[in-house]
Amino acid sequence: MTDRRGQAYTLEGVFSAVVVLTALLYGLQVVDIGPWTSEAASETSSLETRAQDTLDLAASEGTLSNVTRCYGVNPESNRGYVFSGQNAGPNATLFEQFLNTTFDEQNRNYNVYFYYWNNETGQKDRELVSMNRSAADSGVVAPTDASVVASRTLVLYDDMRTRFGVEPKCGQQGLTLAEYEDRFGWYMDDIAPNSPIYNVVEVRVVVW
Amino acid sequence: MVTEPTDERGQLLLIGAVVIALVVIGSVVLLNGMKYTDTVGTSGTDGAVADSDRTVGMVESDLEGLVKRVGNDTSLLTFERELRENLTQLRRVYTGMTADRRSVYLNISVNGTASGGGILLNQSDQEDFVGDGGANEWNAVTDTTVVEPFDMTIDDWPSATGVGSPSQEVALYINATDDDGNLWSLKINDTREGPSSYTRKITVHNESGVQQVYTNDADDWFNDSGPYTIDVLNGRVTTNTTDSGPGLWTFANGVNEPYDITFDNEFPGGGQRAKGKYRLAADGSGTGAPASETTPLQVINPAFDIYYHQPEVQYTQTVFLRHDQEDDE
Repeated sequence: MTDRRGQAYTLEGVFSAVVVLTALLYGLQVVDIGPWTSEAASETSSLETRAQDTLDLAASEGTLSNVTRCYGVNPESNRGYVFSGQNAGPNATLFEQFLNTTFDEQNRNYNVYFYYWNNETGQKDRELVSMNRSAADSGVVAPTDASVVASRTLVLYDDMRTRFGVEPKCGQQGLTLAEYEDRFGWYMDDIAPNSPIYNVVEVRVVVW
Repeated sequence: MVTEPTDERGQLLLIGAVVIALVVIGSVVLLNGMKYTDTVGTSGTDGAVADSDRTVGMVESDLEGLVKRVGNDTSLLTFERELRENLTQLRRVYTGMTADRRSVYLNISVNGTASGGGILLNQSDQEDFVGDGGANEWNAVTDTTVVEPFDMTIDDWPSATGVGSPSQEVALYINATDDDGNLWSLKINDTREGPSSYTRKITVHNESGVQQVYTNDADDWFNDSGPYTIDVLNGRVTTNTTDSGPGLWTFANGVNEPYDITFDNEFPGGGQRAKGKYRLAADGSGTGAPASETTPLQVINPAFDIYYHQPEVQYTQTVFLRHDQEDDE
């Protein structure tokens, strides 16, 4: 009689332990541990939003299109356009100024790429336009795990004019894209010669 | 008297405890689910919706540029075909560019049904310039904003005989009028210097009075035997051997959009009425032209269906664009 009661108590204890542990396990899942962890996740999200906003703003102001039509254009009067990105100075394009304000002043690093269509390969080609400032002196050449990517696609048309000039940068208009490519060649080809479309460019910013 | 506890009571307690524990666990699971939905569950979808919205915005601004350029390069007659061809090229590249970073399927197509259309009036045989049922005065197009092309070939120039009292002239008028009553008019007639001197005259006038007058006496390009092709839109008069060059007049100058285009082929009963061919495409609606000469144009102010699909979100958005887009540079 006494033996059997002892077994029942043991069983009861084991059951209770299982129940309490299971409840604890589920219960802990409910707790939002976000506030006690680092703010990396929310910061990454906000950084991505900022990067996208910068590109959208630059696109709506027209400077994004200007920069893509300025890069690689090398008229005799100007020895090529260099996208300086960081600390671009007062003559910088609006896009560079946006990047300065949004990222450089916040101690952020970024790379800017242009992706454009290549008919011969049927794929995108990549052009690294601007590399982060710390690459040379700190050895941090690649984006870290916490980097974010934002991009904006825009279509270039044959009749859009190339841009060049120094003060301000890209301030003058040159030949149309089709004329310029015919005469001097450009890194980006006309993907549809019988159509007003010249190429499609994706401006991509990687920030970390 | 003290009674001994029984086995049955211990089992009852045990079962009771297990039941209560199950209830507690069930509540925890339920609350856990609610908390998850609130904090984590929709954030992925929110991001996807924002992404899709952004992408569609990009597509829309790029399509505006495309519509503007195709519109500039072609007339309304070939606009739809050219637009579809160019869109095919753009779509091929665009889809490849967009689908690179994440799993997205993007398709852009012209929605013919939702697009704003227009009409093509085409009198391809040498006939009187008359409306449906032989009407002298008739409304070719109503409420139009875009006209292209608008050209006419005058095989037989009108000649007046001065029938009636006071003598009436034979003339062909092409009028553009808006809702405010402004008028622009192109008049084609002879110089009425007697039946034997069969000469030609083009007069342009609007609310401010006569703007331009061209006669075969004063203008070299007007001294050919014809037939004359008049580009009403660009102000140009040509024959096989002569060419006035464009810019003789500005079509619908002083008239606000939308406007109506009417033909008035005055014919008092004597002389010779103007005969020839004409071709007119516009985004308005036609009312008075013979049905046999009227063809609907489906796409002038195009509507595009932008289909966006990624795992979390899928939708189609229709955007409407004007044929005469503003310059984006």
